[in-house]
Amino acid sequence: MVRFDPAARAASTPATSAASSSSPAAATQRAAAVPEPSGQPLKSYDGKFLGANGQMYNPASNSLQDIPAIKPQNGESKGLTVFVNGVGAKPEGATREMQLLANTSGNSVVGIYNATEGKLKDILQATGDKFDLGKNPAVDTLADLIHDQLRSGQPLHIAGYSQGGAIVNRAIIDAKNRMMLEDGMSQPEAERLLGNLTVETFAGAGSDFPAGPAYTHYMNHADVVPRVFGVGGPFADAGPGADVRTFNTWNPFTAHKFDKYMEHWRPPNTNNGLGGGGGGGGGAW
Amino acid sequence: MVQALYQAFDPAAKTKGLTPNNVGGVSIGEESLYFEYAPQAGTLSVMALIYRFRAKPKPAVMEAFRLVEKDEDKGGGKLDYQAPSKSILLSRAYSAVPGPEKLKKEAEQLMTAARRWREQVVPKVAAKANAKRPRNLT
Repeated sequence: MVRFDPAARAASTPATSAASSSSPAAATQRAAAVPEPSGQPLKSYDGKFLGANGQMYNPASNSLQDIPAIKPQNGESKGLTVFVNGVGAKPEGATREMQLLANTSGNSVVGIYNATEGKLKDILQATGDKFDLGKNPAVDTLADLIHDQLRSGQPLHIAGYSQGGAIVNRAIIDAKNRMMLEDGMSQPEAERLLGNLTVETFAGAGSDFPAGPAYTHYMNHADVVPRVFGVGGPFADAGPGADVRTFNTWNPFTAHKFDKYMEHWRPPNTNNGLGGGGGGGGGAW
Repeated sequence: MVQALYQAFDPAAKTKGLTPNNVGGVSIGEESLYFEYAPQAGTLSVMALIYRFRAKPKPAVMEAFRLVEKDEDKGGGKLDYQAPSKSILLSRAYSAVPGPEKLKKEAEQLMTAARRWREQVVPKVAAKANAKRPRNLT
């Protein structure tokens, strides 16, 4: 069950967001985001926005800018990161990871909830039919967000932990293919547009990242997930210009913990491999 | 059969198999695998997603897919467009139940091919389609 803070509903006013270039006047005209009803099976929240107080928001009826973000508890927010959680995280666990990322990075954080059941995950609802063949809610929400945000001329900063890294990987490819197949862009044009995307993966399972975004991948050598399924794999491509930041905590039993990765966080790489980047370890935004 | 495939990928899988509408879908890592059972024909189709269109695909794009597919590996399946969901997939139909290991191997072949299509073939398709039509870059 997802727990909801009743007080949060009143606080569901437009979130200030680095991803939004809207004027304050425009922001005040925006309707407050409406949370999903509580008490539904977790699977029904797959691909929904996850905001402050663990509330879920339907991406079809709420824009990113309207979702109340989790803010850093130790200072002013510097920007916005959209975060995808890993395997087995209940909303409470994902929210805790989002708060830790916010406090560590200084960015506000909005989640895209990845409702998982293990290595395999049902991606159709119980009532699914032919219209659903091809849908994958968490990937689709993120791919649409990447596409729409970049096409509207705004940068975007996304992050994925564990299986969330695979979702990030897949969503970038889907967004790129949409630009080429549906918007009529050439591959270089799509890659240039993806240059406005900043990507961080922590213990990520994704292993074949396309050209365009500025990538920062964190890998604990003691953690089997990124070494086998992620950028540490034998045929992995971390993406042009990627900064793969490695460390070793030696203990394999705790190596995959998100907290371990946050201990090694630094401002993300700004080199997107397109020739105009500023190199690794650039400033946060 | 679908449950057996799930178990072959992950013995601890808690997935439910097909819906009452005879379709199903799982994500395995970065890949998405879908199933459709046709009771009248008695066939089960296993499908690996290449791309799901948001809008109805332009004829030039579909024509480009058909032109390009002749020279591309399809992982033992065929290129399939599911109009209700606007999805391009690689599909393979079964009329008899293969063993779980054989089914798993063939599903992996489909997923590997679908991934290659998504990453390497789609740019070729787009280049072919976009060479013929005006672009919308606004």
